Amino acid sequence: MIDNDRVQVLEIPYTPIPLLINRFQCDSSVYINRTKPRSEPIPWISEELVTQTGTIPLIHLDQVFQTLFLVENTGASHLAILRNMHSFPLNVQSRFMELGIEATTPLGFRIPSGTKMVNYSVRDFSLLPRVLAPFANQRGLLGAVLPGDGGMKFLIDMDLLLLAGILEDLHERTDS
Amino acid sequence: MDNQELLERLHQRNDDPEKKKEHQEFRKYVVFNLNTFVFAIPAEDVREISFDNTIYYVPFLPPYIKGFANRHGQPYTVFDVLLLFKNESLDTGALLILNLPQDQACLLITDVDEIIKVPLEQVHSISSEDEDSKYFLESITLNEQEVFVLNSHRLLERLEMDLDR
Repeated sequence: MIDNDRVQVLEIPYTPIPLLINRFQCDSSVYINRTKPRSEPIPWISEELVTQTGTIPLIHLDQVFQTLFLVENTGASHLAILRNMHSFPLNVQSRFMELGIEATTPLGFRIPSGTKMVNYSVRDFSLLPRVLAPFANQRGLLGAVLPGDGGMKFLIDMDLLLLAGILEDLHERTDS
Repeated sequence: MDNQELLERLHQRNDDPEKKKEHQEFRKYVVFNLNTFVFAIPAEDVREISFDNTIYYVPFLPPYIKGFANRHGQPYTVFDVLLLFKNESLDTGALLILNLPQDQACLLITDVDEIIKVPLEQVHSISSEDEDSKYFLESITLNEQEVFVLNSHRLLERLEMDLDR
């Protein structure tokens, strides 16, 4: 949040549902120049971002979003959100570590190139319908922006969505 | 007629025993189609009917929830009742918006047939004890056909139960 009323988000321009991620869940971002395959690929995490100082596991968040929200492929996803492992909640950190990702490693998340930073007012957001709001909130779907001309944008919590959408699933697969 | 007299006349009309009798002896329903199936719902449970809506998919929810619709700048949960009852999915943008005091929900429908007043003697209680009967308040006789009247609160209870699992 910035000021008292403004919310700064990354807006990913998916069709038909643009997705919004709070700026606070993004430490920095880079344009993806070079990647290489991971030595031990797992679903969603099959490549590494090559930087000047080493490599960073690169999670294909774009594919995660396409799979979960049935949004259209934008065709180009050359941006990466970077997160330090310690910026995740402990339960998310431990899930990543169980998948062989070191605690000191930053993580990269591949997102569409057309993503931009946008400011919203708190008033622009709507809560979800009452009966399913607690369930959806726990899985990272926090609220919606409903523009006057129709349409709908979802505000998502990246940490909760990763946990519910892929990490629990990967954890079960690697356990079995 | 001054305003005072006008108000008195309006109050008298509301107290009219004939009008009260009519209210007591009829119930009003919205009759709607889900493909070839006909259902009804109490008219007071319906806020509006809306056509050509876009439904926005939401992950993690039961299959009979098609997603959200944007109605007047608020997200409404869209139930596909046909999927719940008949295991058939409805491909339409027509919505029957429910009049719920504390939630926002609507039903995917094919079309609205009519809005009717039904004499009480043509309203029947449900005697069946099968799984689906709990979703119905009663049935009405319409063109010699038995039409079930949907209990919208039961739909929300079902969703709440499925999400708790």
